[in-house]
Amino acid sequence: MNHRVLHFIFLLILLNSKFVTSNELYPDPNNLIDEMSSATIDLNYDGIFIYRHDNKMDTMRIIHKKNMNGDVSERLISLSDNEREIIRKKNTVKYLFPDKKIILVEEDSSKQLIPTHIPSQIKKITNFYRFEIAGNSRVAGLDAWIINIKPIDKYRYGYQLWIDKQSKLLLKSKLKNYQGMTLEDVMFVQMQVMSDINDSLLEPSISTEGFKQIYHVNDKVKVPSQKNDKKKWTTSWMPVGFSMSKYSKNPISTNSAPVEHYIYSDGLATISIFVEKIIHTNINNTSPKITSFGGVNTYSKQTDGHQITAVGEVPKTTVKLIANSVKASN
Amino acid sequence: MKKQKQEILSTLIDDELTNNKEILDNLISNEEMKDTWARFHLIGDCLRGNLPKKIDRNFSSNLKKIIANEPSLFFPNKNYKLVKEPIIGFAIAASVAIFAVLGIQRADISPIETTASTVHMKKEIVDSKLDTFSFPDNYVAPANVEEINEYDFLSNQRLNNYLINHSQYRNDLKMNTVLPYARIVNIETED
Repeated sequence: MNHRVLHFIFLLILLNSKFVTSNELYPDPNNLIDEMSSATIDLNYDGIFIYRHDNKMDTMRIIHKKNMNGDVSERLISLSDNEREIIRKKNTVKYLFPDKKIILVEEDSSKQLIPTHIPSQIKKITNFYRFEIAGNSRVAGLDAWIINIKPIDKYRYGYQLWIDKQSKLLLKSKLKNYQGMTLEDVMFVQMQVMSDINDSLLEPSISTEGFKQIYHVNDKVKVPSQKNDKKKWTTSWMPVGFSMSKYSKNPISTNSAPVEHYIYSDGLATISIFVEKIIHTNINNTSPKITSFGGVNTYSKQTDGHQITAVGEVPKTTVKLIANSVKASN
Repeated sequence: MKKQKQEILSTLIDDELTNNKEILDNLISNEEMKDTWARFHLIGDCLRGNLPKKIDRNFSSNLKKIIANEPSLFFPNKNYKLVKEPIIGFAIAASVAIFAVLGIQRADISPIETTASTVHMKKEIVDSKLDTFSFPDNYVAPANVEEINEYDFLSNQRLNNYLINHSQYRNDLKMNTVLPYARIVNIETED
């Protein structure tokens, strides 16, 4: 009898301890995502990661610094294939392409954009995605939580994230389609969080002597607005939960005419709609075209003398349906 | 045939071939297989985190200089040194040359033909949690969704610009699951 009681008490303790342990160990996935978002911006780190998409695998190094003034600097270096770097300092992003001897300079667009609606991210996301802790694992020698982010419908992709238990930095991520197939993944093989980062590490290692600099904003030829081109573009279809977060009207290097750029987001996935006026032969291909780059799909079509292109980390079907729904109204 | 060769190499790397003399002979004589062999090892090193902390771009030339200036302390016997030093020097230089050649050829390969499916990696290295991903029970699948199977890389300059702009705005979002600029670094560009 005593044995039975002891067994019962032991079982109770075991169950109770497991319950308590689970509660203590498993964090709230929503909070974890929030912490990850902050850590990605606020911490100083230097890491090497693999980016796998389609049939390609690239190795890259990222150095991220946030200084005392809150200014963020980043340097992304391609360690495989072509020697390329992207350097971001405050509002300026420089793309260094040594194989083409080109530096593409982009001024941060945030000042030029008209903010329309910036949702409170996590609260919004949970309406369209289910978050759950899938377990834990190790990435780059660090203990990580695995979070599954599952979409509520077929118009968006799912994600699997590995988040460092200590620093809360993202160590690995997978973009998945509705069949659970991985479309692209990023995995750090080395990650070092540092108290400070020497500014010299944020300077390009490539000598840019003789490189042609292309300024995406300053080099533009301003085209006077035409009376007959005051169309307003609207989308009659968008997956539930997507709302317009930004809008811009700026030229891009391939066209002297301004290109309208509408950005929609459900808080996690982003969809861009580009509307570009067809001038002369700047756009040759008239047939609708769909392209893919890892998890990003694009769909282009022509309507009413304009090229409409939808770009986003959403299924091909979604970008096609969106682009086809774009209509002009005078 | 090519895929079959890759499969054999992959199995060889995994040490799962019992009679591999013929494969090794073939590997030594076939430049393409040598390249594939090197790529598979590079991928393996990437996934296991065995990449060096810093990539020294002058590694080959520096090593050559070191070899050229290598003192003969390990070969006190003069006669022995005269015979052996060039041989050892050649052996190391040859390995450096192979490394350099592979490095150059590696840069010329576009796109990388190796896929995850052709590399037999240990299951736990690939992803121990791959099967944990399933969609929720109340998952809404719309009817009559047309699947498009066309496939193409972004090689068009206009689309490249769109992708750059799109990635930049995506980077502004607080919620970032994939480093948006990673897509741009190795984007195909036109001359």
